[in-house]
Amino acid sequence: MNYFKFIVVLIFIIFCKSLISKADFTLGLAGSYSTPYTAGLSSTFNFSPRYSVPGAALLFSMPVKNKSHELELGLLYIPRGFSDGYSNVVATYIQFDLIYRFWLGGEKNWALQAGGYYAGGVDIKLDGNKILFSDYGLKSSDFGISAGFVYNIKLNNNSSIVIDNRVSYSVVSTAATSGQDFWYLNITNIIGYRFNFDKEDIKK
Amino acid sequence: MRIFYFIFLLLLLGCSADSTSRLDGTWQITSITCNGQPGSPTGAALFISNGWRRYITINGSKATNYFKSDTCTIYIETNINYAQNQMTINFPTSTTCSPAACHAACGIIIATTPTINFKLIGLNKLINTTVQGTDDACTSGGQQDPMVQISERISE
Repeated sequence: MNYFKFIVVLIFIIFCKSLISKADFTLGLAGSYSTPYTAGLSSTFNFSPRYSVPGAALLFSMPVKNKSHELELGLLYIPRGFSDGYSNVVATYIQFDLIYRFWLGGEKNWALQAGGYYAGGVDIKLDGNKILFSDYGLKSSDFGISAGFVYNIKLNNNSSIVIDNRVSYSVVSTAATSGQDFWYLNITNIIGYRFNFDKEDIKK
Repeated sequence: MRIFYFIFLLLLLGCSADSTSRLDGTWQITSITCNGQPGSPTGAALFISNGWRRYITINGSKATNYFKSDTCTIYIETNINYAQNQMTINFPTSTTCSPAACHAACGIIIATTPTINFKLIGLNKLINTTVQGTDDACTSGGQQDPMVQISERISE
């Protein structure tokens, strides 16, 4: 799995370096409201979401086709908080998002988006005490799909405030024990400052 | 645009959490302590050491306790009443053995109804702590309650 993380980071760096001249760059805070859900274990746990301390988001957005479509690669350091009915849990992940975005109208105020993510676990805390993902019965990685919308408040020609809301689902169970089911539903909110590096946009 | 609507629809489906607190599944007891001390292998920990394994299979309000060695299985049916994160265990029958009379504990009646706190640590670790009544396991071995018993989930 470490090789996989290394490859993802390498692709991310290459992507950013090659596209930096045209990519927009967003730096912001990312909070997640998470609800795990299960099939076989649903009678055992009473999962409920908890909003945890926000993490950080670094997003690179590149226009494709025309200016109304863009591809975004995101790097998020994001704590996912929830209660399992016995303990308050905060599972922190480094998450890579690949998002396709469609801007509604020419002003780039609203956009719909969809994509996928890979999240690698950093640590997990039960009532503030750090334990291993395996101690909780989880794998330390999570894959999923996501969709959401973006509201963009333009400040000037080369910067804006972005409010990005995403709902994401795990598509593979993250339970460490085979036969068990444990998926995440995350509502992720990102508020960030977006820098426009597209020279053509700045000239306008 | 259709792909966005499709994904939104997918995301809106099937998310719910059950609020009951049952512990369905099979649990293997891995550790017993009595008043903070390791359970005596001649008392509390008798059936989780020296070739013995202890399992509890829970199905709603019914639970079966199994004490197994390579040559003998002792089991007893119990009823569980849940109240939040506590359970009260009743032993309405005596122990049964397979093969019959394979151990001195076969056919005994457990005359106690302990109330036990339970807490799950993650998906697969269960901690039980006696809070009312004697659990017998510690006291019959000459040790003191509260008993703290740790179990690992081995199947759902």
